[in-house]
Amino acid sequence: MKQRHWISWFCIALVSSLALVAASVADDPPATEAERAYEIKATMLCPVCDGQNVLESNAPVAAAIRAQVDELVSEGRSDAEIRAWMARQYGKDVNANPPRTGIGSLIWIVPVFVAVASTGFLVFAFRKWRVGRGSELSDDDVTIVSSLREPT
Amino acid sequence: MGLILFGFVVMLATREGGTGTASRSPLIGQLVPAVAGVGLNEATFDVDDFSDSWVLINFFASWCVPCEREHPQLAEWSRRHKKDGVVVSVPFGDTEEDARAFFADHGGDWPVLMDGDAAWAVAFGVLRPPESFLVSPGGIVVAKWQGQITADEVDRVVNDLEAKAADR
Repeated sequence: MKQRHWISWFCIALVSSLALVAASVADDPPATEAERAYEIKATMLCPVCDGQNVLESNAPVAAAIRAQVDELVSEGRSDAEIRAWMARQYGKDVNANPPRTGIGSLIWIVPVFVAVASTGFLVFAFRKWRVGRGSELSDDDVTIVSSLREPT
Repeated sequence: MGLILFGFVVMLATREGGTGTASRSPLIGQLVPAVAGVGLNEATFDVDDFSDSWVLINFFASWCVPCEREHPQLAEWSRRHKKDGVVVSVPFGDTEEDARAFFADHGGDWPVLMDGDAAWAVAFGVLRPPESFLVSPGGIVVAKWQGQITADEVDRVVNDLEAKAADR
């Protein structure tokens, strides 16, 4: 019975974690072209700046990338096409977000599995710790409890 | 002429990209991206019209000191290659007004094209001015320089490739 209880909690934790990850990965699609362009620019790093995205940077190359993203979005190019084009021109590090396919997808998947495995391990360890400490009564314990229960 | 062009294409297709004086660029060994438009002097320019010439595409800015220093070298290279080459300047991170003032101050009779939507800057992967790209007869990008260049430096690549093309 207790075993089934533990499995239920584990399943709830697993499903909740997966739902959270799915919600964070599967963003709502942008409503307008301007929003789409904004999102691409916000996740594209200026190639000559320290950690600034092209939205924040005043470097000419950032302005060039912004202008080109606007142009390519208005031409109907997909996000993947635009990112691939910029990565070809300026190197793959221009994309701030790692790819969600191939080896890069491990960055998204591994933390989830680590979190679920860690939670499972902790639950298991705490249970074992609690059961191990108080499950078996010694003869002395029984004697003490019996003496306390006897009517005086 | 056709044989020479064919020689260039064969040689460049088998040449390692980004070696020698040229900086690394995915464009080396590739066809030059389309560069065409009306220059500041109102004359039209299309890189495809110069497929039998050397083309030196220079991204510059009026506020860039190395660009100012290299300008006489571009003029020198343009003078040396009146018959078989052309310089094209493209302002990068600059306004048309400042680009006009720069050429009025420093001279230069070659085409200056405004890159309105930055399509050329991105197509060439320009990071910061000055950057120059040498396009061989046949329209293949053969060298890229980041920073100030000299006419001699460009001609070393031109002479090297012409000698190799003649050997084939």
